[in-house]
Amino acid sequence: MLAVSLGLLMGLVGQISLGHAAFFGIGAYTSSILSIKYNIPVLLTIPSGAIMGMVMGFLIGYPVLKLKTHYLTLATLGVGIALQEFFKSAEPITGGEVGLYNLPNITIGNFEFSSPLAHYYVVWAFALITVFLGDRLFKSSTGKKLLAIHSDEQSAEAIGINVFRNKVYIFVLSSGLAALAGGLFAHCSCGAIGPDGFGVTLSIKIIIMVIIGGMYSIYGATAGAIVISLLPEMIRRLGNFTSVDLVVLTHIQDIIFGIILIIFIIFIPQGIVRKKEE
Amino acid sequence: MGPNGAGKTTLFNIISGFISPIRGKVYLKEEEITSLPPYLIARKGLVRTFQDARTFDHLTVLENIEVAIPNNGDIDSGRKVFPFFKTRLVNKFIRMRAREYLELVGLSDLQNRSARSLTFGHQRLLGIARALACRPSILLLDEPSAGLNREETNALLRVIKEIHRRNIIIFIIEHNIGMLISLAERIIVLDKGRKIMEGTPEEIKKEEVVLEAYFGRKKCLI
Repeated sequence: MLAVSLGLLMGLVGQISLGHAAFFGIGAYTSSILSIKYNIPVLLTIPSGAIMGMVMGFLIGYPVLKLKTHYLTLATLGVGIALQEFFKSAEPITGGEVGLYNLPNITIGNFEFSSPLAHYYVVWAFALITVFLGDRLFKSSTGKKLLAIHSDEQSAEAIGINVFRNKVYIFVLSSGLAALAGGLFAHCSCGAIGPDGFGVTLSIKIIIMVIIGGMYSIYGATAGAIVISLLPEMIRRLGNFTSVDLVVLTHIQDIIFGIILIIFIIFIPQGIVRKKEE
Repeated sequence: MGPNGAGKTTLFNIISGFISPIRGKVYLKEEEITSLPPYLIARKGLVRTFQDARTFDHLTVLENIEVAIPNNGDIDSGRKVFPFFKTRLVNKFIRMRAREYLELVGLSDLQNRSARSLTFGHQRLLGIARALACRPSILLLDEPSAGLNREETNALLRVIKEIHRRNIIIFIIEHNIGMLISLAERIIVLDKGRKIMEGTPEEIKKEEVVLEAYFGRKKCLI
C-alpha cells in the first residue's frame, strides 16, 4: 500500500520522495497517540492519521513542490530526516527512542481483529481498495493530466493545466495514503512502533519497490512491493539451508537488494510490469 | 520574422506568461495578462506551441489531445476516481471532441499509438492539434515548419489554413520566408529585441533590399 502511494507520486508526476517513510510514520504515530492517550476507537484514529498525513503533506508539499528534480528529492530527504528526528526526540508525545507500545487492535462493534490472520485480512482489504482506487486514478483524466505533467511540464502549462496545483494535489493524496498505511501498520503489526521504522531506509525501500515493479502502472508498484517483501523471507530460508549466521545474513540481504536495484536500473528500467507498446 | 537571437521566441514566452517582462505590459482584448501564470493565459484563449514538438510521451496520441480539452474544474477528483455515470458521459464527449481535432490534422489513424512513436512531422501536427483543443482565440506557433520535409510542410500549410478559416488569429514565427509571404496578412521584422519593420508581405518584399543591407546578406534572415 505504501508502495502504491509512492507509485502514484513517481509514476504519475515523476517526483521522487525520500521522505515518504515520514508520512508513513505520521499516520502511525497520530493513530497510536490518539488511541492510547485519548482512548479513541482505532476505527476513527486510523482515518485521523490519514488526514494528519494529508495536512502535513499539504504544509510540506506547498513550499517544497516549487522545487524541481533533484532539488525536490533532496528537500524531501531533509523532511524525512527531520521528522524521524522529531519522532525520536519528542519523548512526551512519541515515546522517544522507545516508541509506543500496547497499541489496541481494530475493533468493529464487539469484534476485535486480534489474531495475526485477522490483521492480515484487514491489511489486504485496504491494500486491494488502494490498488483499485489508484488504478482508477491512473486512468482518470486527472491521472492523464499528471502523466502529461510528467512528460513535459511546460507543455502541460501551455495547454491550461495548473501544474503546481496538480502536483500539490497528488503529493497530498500520496502522503495521506502513506499515513493511512502507517496507521494500519501501527495497529496491525506487533502492537508497537518506534522511530527506527520510519527512517530514510524505509523510504529507499519503497522507491526500490516502485522502480523494480514499474512506475507506469499501479500494478507495477504492487508487484514490486510483493517481490521486495518476499525477498528477505527467501534469503532467510536460504540462510537456514546454508546455516549462515543471521547477522551476516542481514548484511548479505542489503547487498542483494543493492545488486538487484542496480541490475533493474541498468537492464529493465521500466520494471516488471511494463506498459504495452504498440 | 527576424535573424537568430532577434527575440522572437522570447517575445512569445513573454506573451504566453513563461517569462516575466522587465518592462512593458501584455494585454489580451483590453485585459492585462502580464506575468499571469501560463495555464491561466492559456485558459483565456491565448495558446502557444513550442519549437520542438514536445508531445506527452507517456500518453497515447488521442490522450495527448484529451488532456488539453477544457472541462469544468481543474481538479474534480472525487467524481473522476469513482465510477459514476456522469463521468463516463463527460469522458465520451471529450473523446469525441479529441477525435475531431485529430481528424483536422490528419492523425486519426494513429490515435492509439504512443506519442513517442510518431515521426517528428506528426508530433508537430499533434502539438498543434493539442493547442487547438484548448479552444484558443489566438494561437502562437513557434517555427512550425522547422525540421519538416516538403510533404510534411504541405500538411502543415493545410492545417494552418484550416485554423485560419475557423477565425482563430494566428501569430507565426517562421524561417521559411516563402511560406510566410504566402500565408501572412502582416509581417513584423524583429532584430535585437526591437521591431524594425512592419507591413504586408508585398511591402516587406519591396524592402527586401533594405533588409539585406541591414542584415548583411539574405541568408541572415533565416
